[in-house]
Amino acid sequence: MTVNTPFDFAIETAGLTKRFGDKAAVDDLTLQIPPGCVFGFIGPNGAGKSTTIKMLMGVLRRTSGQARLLGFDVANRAEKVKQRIGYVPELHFIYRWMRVSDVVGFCGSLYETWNDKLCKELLALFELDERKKVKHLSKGMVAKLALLIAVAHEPELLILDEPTSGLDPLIREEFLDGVLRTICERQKTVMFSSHTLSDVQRLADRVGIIHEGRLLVDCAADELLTGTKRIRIVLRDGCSPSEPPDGTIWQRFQHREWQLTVRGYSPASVEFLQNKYPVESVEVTDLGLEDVFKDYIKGQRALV
Amino acid sequence: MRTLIWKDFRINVIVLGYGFVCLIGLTIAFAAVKIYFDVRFNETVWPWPDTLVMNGSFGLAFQLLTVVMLGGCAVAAERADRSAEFLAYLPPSRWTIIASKAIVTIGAGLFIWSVDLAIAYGIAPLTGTVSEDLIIFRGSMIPVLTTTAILLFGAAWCASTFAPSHAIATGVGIAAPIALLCVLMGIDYIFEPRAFDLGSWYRLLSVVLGIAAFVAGTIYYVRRVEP
Repeated sequence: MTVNTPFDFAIETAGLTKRFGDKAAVDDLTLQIPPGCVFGFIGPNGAGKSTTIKMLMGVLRRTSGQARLLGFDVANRAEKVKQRIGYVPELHFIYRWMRVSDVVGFCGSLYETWNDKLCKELLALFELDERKKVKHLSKGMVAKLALLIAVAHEPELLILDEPTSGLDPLIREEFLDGVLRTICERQKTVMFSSHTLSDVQRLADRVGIIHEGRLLVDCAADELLTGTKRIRIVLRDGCSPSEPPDGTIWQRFQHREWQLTVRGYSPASVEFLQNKYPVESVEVTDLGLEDVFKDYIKGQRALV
Repeated sequence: MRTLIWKDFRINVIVLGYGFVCLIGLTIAFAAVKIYFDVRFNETVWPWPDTLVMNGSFGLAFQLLTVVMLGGCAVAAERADRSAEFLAYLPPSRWTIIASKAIVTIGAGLFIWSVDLAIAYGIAPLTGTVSEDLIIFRGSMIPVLTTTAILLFGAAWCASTFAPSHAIATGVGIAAPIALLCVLMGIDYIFEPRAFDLGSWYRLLSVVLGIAAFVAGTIYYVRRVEP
């Protein structure tokens, strides 16, 4: 999807780093997300997803590197950027004493482009009772209110940090429908992090995998899924593998069975293995995003 | 800005409620005691001007707690319940956010303070002649209370910009005049015979330190990135 904008990338980071003492929570992160892209940002707990997003939102000081949103440096033009961004955090800290109508009025007055009509539509769609206080709303309803606040000013960029974490499947579905509606109707750029990889596979057209602060993968979701395969080889007795083919991200050898996950798979990968080892049988299978993600992380942990 | 002021007013509504109750409650209490004694002893034990001077002066003493709580809650109350994080993702600049807090807290503090001052200095003389003793009492008490209030507010405000909770910030505010007094008394003790007027120095330093703490806290808040 391409959108005409005065900037090349809706989100652009270069060497973005955040250190807490000696530990790098985000290490030299370089990302370029074009306008109109739905970017799924995934990684295990503590990988640096939320830290990255907080730096992007300008609420966490970066140790080094650059971050630009919609062409603006976040550190210098935070207010201008925030007018054009919608953000849904993992945990919602909306003023608990406010009524839903108060929250809507409060936020509406702070955004120059607040769309009252859209806001009313979303209130109805999400079945939010305007008279209820935030403290009396369920977790799912608060998440929906947060999404409403994030999209009612029609932002050019929507950033979601594990927005469906802890929500029941029904609410999660409604929430994702709301996000999808925003993406489809208005062709927004979306960056979202999630542990629910089925959601990421459903929404994202580009995927980034982060592990221990470092970006392992940043590519189109289709390319990642079609280009990554699991090869299962049974070797003859007495053989043990020594050299995997190029692009191997994870491997395991048990008895005579050698399992490999290869990125950038081509039939040449299998030919390489068949020429090098006495192979009894070969099987190549497709992987879902969840398996690809797990194999990347397991592969990295094995390296360590 | 208007909605931010409304929000800050709502956040401080309990503290402001305390201030308002002190203001009204003490006035009613002093008036009730005066009327009771007048009726009980069938003569004017406390004339109205003296009652009002005491009302205004003691009112200010009670409002010290209001002032320090206003300063302590200014920023840290939102940090304590993490609503500061919600606010941080919204567009207003940190200058706008802190300006709104300053308008609400200083505005409310000044209003409460000026009402008590008006009772002690403005309304009391209108009702008759204030006795000599109470003029001296008022003249010594009110400047100390006012300068202490400036220090209390400034220190609590400053602590509020970095403390994780408003209780800590309020505690720092309360500790500030006590610490200043201890330091001055220590110096006074070391340099016997008395080398300086402790009261004057206390009042001067309270104002200077209070304003300095307020300015430092404000600058720190604006420069700070984290909510």
